[in-house]
Amino acid sequence: MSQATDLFNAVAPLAARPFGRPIWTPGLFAAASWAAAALVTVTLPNVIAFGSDELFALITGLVAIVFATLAVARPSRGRLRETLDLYGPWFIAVGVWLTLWELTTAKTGWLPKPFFSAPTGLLHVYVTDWDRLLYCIAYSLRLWGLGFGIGAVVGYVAGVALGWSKAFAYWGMPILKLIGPVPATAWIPVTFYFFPTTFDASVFIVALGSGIPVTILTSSGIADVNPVYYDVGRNLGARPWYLITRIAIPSALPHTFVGLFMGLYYSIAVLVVAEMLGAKYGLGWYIQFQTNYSGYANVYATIVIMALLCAGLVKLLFMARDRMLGWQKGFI
Amino acid sequence: MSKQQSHAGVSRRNVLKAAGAVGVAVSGGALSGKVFAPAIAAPAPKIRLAWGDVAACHSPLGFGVAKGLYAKHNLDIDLYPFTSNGQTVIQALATGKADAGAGLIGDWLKPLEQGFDVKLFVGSHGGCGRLFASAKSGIKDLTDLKGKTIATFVMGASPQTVLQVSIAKAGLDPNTDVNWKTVPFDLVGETIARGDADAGIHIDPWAWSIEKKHNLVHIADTQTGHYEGLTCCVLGANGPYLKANKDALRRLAEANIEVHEYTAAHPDEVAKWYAETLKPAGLSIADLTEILGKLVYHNHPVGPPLVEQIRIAAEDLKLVRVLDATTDPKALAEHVTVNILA
Repeated sequence: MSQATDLFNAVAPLAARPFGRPIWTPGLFAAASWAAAALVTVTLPNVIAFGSDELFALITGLVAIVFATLAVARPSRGRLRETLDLYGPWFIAVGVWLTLWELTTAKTGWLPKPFFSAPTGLLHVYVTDWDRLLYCIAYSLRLWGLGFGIGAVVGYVAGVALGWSKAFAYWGMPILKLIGPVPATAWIPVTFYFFPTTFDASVFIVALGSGIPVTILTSSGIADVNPVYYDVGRNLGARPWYLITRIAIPSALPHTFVGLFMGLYYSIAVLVVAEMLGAKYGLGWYIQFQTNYSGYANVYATIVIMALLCAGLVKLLFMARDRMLGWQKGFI
Repeated sequence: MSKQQSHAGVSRRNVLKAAGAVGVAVSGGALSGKVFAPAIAAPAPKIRLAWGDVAACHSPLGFGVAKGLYAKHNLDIDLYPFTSNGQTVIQALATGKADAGAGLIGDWLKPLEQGFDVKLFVGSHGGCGRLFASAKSGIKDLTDLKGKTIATFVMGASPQTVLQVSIAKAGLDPNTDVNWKTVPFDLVGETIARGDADAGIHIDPWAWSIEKKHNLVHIADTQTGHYEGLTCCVLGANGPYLKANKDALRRLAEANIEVHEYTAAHPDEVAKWYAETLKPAGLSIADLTEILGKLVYHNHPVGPPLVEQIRIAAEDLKLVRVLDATTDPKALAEHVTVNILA
């Protein structure tokens, strides 16, 4: 009896730590769920063929192998380790999600057709239409970059002026209060007559979508600056320009960034609508084009791209904010 | 329905006789005899048929129901209207609001490629979409459209989806070489007349009256050019419904052929019904007779000819990059059709 206990005590740690490290259990489950997605895709016959089955199985299979490897040989510290620990349950969930998704669409056809597409269907869209999608991404980014850039700059300048100058605020505030709440998309019918090309009109609408929140928040940020700061500045001999650039603008920046975040989401929403009204290319155009032919897999594939793009832009803006407002850490 | 039935005139019996004769001629005496035999015994099966009540080329369907041409084939047709937009007929069938529907080949194929459980079984009629341009734009043919602005009543309107194939065949990229401009449904003609667009697209009877009213140059339509001899609109039925009601759908195909042949022979009667029931574009019966008289009704392929026409349409859709580059048009065409009269 005691011999068995000794044996168990000797073997148990080895089984749990085959490479001298504890096994990452969520990793094993993640590997299993991703492997299941790969197996379901290659072994079960298709009710609906969406294409790119092999590629999908290859990708999910590779991911499963990576998780299995990480499960037994996970780094003991560092950023990768932290990420793995944090997102373990998510990795499992995504594998399960992909398996169920593939099962309920391509393999059994349970979900209503043609509205639901399989993960292989989305992958197939990327495989067959990648060049046109890249074009569309570039077109959308160009339109968004121009619109958001113009909107942010004009909105920022207007916001500073409104917050600083009494005369500007007297004339400008009522107009802003009137125009501000109107959704930028409501301007679409008129802008298309005012501007020579659809592209110009689209840039204007995107700029309006991003500019107004930036204006409102910048001006309120500047108006909210503690007047004591200005008094101190004036006592030390600062001129108005110095007061604006060194006191008003820095202390209003946190507000401005909130405006930029709001403007970013809003401008992307407007961008898609603007592109649906006769753009040559662009993600909004692509969604519109494919919807007309009921190409739902293409629509979903584009929505995924759009979500990733939007998340990426938000991430970029966060990075910019953390850099510029580093001095304010713990302050805001 | 009762309102429509009240239009049945005194000559109804003669109408039906004539229609019957045409139907027999088309579908073959032996076959129709076989079909008609059980029709007397069983109650008429109900078919919910989706149709585009806005388009002139669909008017024979409504006429056929009102005049009892479908009932003669022992069918109880319940019309489900959709607007002139490809998705609505797909959605009507996919959500079970209709059992069968008449839609553009171009609208059917992409969802069918992606596993939509519908079988196409009979070509209905030629198209009624037109592309026209103002005289001062200098546009004479499709290649002149490069860099020009074309007015459409909605992005992806049915004449747009069909005619962009024609534009692509003329060597232009229908997305980048032309500018599409969305204007309200009834302002396409005015937009061109004002000079805000060089050209426009629409469906009959509107297209016909726009061309006439604003004296526009006719550039292309969905019956000539490479659409010559091709059917534009095809009937499709939900897969499960087809399995359970193959006989009813066979009669629907036959009735549909008969209705269209009847329209070809008597456009004035259909125009009268169309004008009185739907009052399209405020046109007179004489105008509608002229429009309907010009449309193509003799093209209603079934079986192998239908497969061939769908293959051509699939090739066209690959050209404008709607269908996958990896899709085999022939295999797709064979997969999505059923030879209903076989």
